[in-house]
Amino acid sequence: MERINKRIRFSKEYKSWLEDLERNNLPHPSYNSSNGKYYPDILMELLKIQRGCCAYTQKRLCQDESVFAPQNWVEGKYQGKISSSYGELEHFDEGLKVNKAWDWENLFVVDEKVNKNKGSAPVDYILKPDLDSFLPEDLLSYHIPTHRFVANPRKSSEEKIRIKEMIKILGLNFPVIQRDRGSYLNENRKKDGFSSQPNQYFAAFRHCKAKFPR
Amino acid sequence: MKVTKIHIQEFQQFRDFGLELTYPDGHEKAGQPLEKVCLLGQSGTGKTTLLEIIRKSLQTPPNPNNKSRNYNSEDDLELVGVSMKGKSDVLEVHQRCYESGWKSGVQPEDVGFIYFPAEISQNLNPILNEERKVVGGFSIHDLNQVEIFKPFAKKDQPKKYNFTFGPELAKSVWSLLMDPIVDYQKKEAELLFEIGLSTTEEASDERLAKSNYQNWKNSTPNPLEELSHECLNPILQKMGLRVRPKLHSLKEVAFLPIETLDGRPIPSEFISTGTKQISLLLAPLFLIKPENAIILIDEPERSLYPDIQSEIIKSIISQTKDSQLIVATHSPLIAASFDPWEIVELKFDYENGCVFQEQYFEGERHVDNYKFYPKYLRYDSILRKIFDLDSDSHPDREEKLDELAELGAELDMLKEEGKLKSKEAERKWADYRKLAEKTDFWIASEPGAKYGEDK
Repeated sequence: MERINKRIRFSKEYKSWLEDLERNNLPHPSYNSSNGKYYPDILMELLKIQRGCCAYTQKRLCQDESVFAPQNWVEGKYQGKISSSYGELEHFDEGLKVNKAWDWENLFVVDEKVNKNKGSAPVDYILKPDLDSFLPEDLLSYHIPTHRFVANPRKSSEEKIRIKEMIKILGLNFPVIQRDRGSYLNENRKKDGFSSQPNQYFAAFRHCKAKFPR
Repeated sequence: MKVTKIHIQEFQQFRDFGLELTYPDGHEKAGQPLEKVCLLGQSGTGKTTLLEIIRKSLQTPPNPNNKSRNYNSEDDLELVGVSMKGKSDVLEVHQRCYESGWKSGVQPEDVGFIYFPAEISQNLNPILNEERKVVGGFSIHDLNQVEIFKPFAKKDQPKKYNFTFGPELAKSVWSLLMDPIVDYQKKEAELLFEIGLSTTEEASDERLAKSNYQNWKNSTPNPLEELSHECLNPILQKMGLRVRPKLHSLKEVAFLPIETLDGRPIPSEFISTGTKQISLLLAPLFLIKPENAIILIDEPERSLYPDIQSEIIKSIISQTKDSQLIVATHSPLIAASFDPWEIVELKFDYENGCVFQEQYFEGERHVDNYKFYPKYLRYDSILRKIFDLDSDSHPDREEKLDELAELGAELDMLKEEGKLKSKEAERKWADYRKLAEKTDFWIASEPGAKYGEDK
């Protein structure tokens, strides 16, 4: 995981719509009924911020960088094509989905299977990726032989339990992801010893690179 | 005859659903009907329903009002426009289904067709409970019970068969299949009886009777011996069993004389479900020797151990000629016997409340464009790539691997702190190795080593 610095730059119509709701203290429309309205704008804005990757696992979801080009946003709305492989919008805190379904702070783009795995499990904000207090390097360690994230062994027992639970909820070691990440990192190790720039699994890549300096 | 296309307009979860059952471009048989098809999919996606639709189409008489006679039994069958109308629990073939699908003039008995439903091992009970009519000291079946099977019974006609091997027809079908075995035993008994009689006559009569018997034995293959040696025994041997090639009494005609490899008979009530499954699946195919037929089998893997599952499709095909085999399965070992273009994977489309076929190729339907080749994948890879299983193992192993990673991270930390020689590190390293052994996870021999991977 990495800290995600969220800022709406292109989806201006969604931004002003959301600000209007907040200003007037209006209820959000339910999530399903207006899926079509700002869903693509939020999805693509977030995906661009997340470098085309899943917010939690950093698995690459979108290979084609050109879909993030500014010209795909016309008058504050995304006009490009969207593929189902680009992942899904996910509510970090499902509890907010009822009243604040379209809250920018609570939305992330994640891998479809990660989303399914997470379901509506209650979350601990200790691993919320966009919080200023979120310091992934301090909270998480990466065990290279098993290619699994674990709580930093230097943290307190109480924190380790909280982190461990969130690792499970966010699917950081979800088998499909863990296997794919292991393959990707092993390939990079063999190719050039982690010299080139990664295009996914950035945090795990950094852990490996630090352990195996050339 | 083989099925090349199926199109279901609307029936249960199938909506405007089409299947192309021919070899793809780039294949040496491109455009020709597939010789084997494997239906996959989560329970409830409609695998058995598809088999039932094919069965219903093949066992429903054609439209009597259609007088044109351009049907050729060698034609491939396009079940185009198959329109199953229905209530949820009743399959009802709509009239225009066979107008287009059957072309015209064809009768069900003209099509070589056998359907093995999933529960075939239950067929043994009616077979064993059959009260056979005894004629001249030998049992005989009651043909009138087997309307759909009649053409096969008429020996002056070409062998044709069109039946479902379910409990309703089990005993009748089995009796017909066992005819050659009973006839052989009958003839052998007659000739041996003549030898017995001749011992009281002239020596030349005895020699003649013995010679007659020997000549008959030399010129007449024993069908039970062929069935056991060429078909069943190679597989039953894996279960420590075999079919004895000789009957000890006519009571054994009811089923097959199964015994252990050291010759101890297995009473019918103790025959295992796997033995029943193998025998009731392969023996009919061996005895009928289907040619240019369509054979449907639901769950051929039932009750079979993995080593037998991996061979069963090959065994089934070896008993057929120029036929089309369509199976529905949940087994990755069965799926491994198929090329990707032979697999039809059904998936739920939750949004639209219907099912669709997962495509294994990208772009043109060409052999070069297929993503997965089940035959060349490990079984665990088939589970992941074809059966979409997310996990490698039981969730408890995942928990243990998390524990292993935590121990590993603690060892990494102790290494960074220069405490790898401490008692604490030694204890953690011992726990780490023990856990790695338990989870079948390969680790390097030194603590803090760089890489490990699943064995």
